[in-house]
Amino acid sequence: MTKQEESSPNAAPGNKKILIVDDDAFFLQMLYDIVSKAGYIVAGVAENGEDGVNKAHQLGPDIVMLDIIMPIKNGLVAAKEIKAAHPAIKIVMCTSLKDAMFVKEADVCGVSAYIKKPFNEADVLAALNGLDF
Amino acid sequence: MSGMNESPYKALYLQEVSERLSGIEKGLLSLESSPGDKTVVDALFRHYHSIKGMSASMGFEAIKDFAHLQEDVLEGFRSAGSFPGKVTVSVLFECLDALKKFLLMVENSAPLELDTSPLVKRLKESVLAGGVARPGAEPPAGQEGGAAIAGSMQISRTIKVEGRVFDSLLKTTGNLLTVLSGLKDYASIVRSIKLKDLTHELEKSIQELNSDILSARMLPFGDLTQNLPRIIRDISARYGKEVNLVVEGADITLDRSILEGMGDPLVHIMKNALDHGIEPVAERKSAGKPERGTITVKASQKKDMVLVEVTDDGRGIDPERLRQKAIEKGIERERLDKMTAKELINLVCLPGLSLAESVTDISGRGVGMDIVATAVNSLGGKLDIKSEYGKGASISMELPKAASITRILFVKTGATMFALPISRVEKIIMLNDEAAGSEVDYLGSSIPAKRLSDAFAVKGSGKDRVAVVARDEKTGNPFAIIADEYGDEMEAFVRPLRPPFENLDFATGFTITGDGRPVFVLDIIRLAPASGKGVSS
Repeated sequence: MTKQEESSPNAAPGNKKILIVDDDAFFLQMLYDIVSKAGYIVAGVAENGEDGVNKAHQLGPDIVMLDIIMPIKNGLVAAKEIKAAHPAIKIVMCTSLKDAMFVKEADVCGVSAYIKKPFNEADVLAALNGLDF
Repeated sequence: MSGMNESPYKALYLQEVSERLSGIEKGLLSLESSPGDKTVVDALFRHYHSIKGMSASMGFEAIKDFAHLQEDVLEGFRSAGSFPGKVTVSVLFECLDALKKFLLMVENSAPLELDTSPLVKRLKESVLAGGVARPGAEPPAGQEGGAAIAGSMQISRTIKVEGRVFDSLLKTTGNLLTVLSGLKDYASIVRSIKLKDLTHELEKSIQELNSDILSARMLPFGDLTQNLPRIIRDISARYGKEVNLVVEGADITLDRSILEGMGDPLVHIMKNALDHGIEPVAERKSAGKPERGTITVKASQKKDMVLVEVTDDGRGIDPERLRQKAIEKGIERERLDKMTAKELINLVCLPGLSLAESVTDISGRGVGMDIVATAVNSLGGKLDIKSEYGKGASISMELPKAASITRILFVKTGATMFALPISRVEKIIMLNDEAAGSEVDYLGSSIPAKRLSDAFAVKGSGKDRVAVVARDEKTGNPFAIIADEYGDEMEAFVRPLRPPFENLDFATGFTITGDGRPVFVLDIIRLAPASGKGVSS
């Protein structure tokens, strides 16, 4: 992964704050481990879309990683709301939904990158490194 | 991601999936009682979806595919705005069982070998046969369902520790206490103030550790009862009985070993209540009772005991039939006449006095209340039965809240078994056939010895094979107790003596062996020659 960091102009995770939103503690933990190991700052985690939107307001992250299928408020609705209030925040969708089902809708919601579940460390970092700040 | 099976995420995976499975169970149960709830279908979909995702990440392909299929089924209903019908829900219950089996395989790091193809086939067929068209009002569209998800983020607040770690901790403190007791004896012999002080300090710490471990072992009663709705559902569906389950006191905590041990008895009592207690709907109607029976499972705390009561509003126990049965089994009429109603009812705890009218595959043959009573006794508890014929029955288990486990050694003299606390045993000496007398050689000198059979006036076999050496608490002098043979060492629940035995000063309590026999746990010190014969009465 150090290779990737060097090769990408945007790979300066040091000061980038990430909010992770997933209703599975399992994925929260995995994403938390991967991004913090790579040098990102985990600003916070949330377990549903609504909590995610609130925390995005409070914490002002640079990146929000969002699951789609979540209780209370799904990831697409959350993405739309976050983007409307904070256009600079980059949204990364983490999902196992079949692409065609949601890509179009996700674009409308202002999603910058996708990570397909199941993911590995390289998948996650590639998506984050590709973000254009 | 392959190769992650023993990953640091496995514990989290197990915990999360099992929370999802509980959610699925709740969802399916509620689909059965109120089939038109969209939020439930949404929540179910999310559970399967989540299990699929996590399983894929762990490389558990078989689970992923199986969960995926169920996710698709739910997604189908979701997008069509229809609801799974009875048959589909029923098959989904079976699929849930298969998922549970898979999870167990993961937990045991066993290969994921389970043939799900018959279930898959039936699930697909049931879906093709059609769901239920949307009944009732349509919930607000365009929003994900908001069914409450109980699971919370537990990364930092709790640690998942395997139960056996706690068993092992308890055993270790048990050993520490044994060593401590030896050290205390030694300290009193060598008369060193310093050693006494240190021993005292050590004792305080060990006691603290012990109580911390005991409290860490506590689990809420609800952990056990969460399985009951499913059990009730399966049985009542099969027998056409309608039952409400009410659980109270789910937050009362008990030691995990006791909670675990009462699982089978509790299930058996529930099955009995469903099978023999709750009447068929027609019978209930004609008796003027509500069509749906009610079974209440209630836990409450009573000092250091927990009282678990299972009450049903079924037909209760027929005292006349029980009396007849008791007479058939050879209990004398005069004895029965002298019994109070309560004593008579509790006769159902005797082997062979089960009152089942027919042998069904619910509570089965031969496994009656006597087995339940033995199981409860062996946990250091007490079973009590109340019944009002025609109105219902109440079965209560009074169980210790915390574990009181003592390491004991069984010794046998003639046909009688006794138990000795290991902490008091200094040494076991094997004797020559002819050697037993009133003295035994120990560490180069003769020490006083006493036969267990003489001390208790029980019939000995005269074999005298072993001498158990202990020390007199006051004098520090060794003495020996002679028995025919010694048996197993084991961790046992020592129960306090109950009337009429509460004043026996040679025993500290009793324990129930695996085969249901009560055995006195001897206060070995009382058997020291100097402190006398206290056992002759």
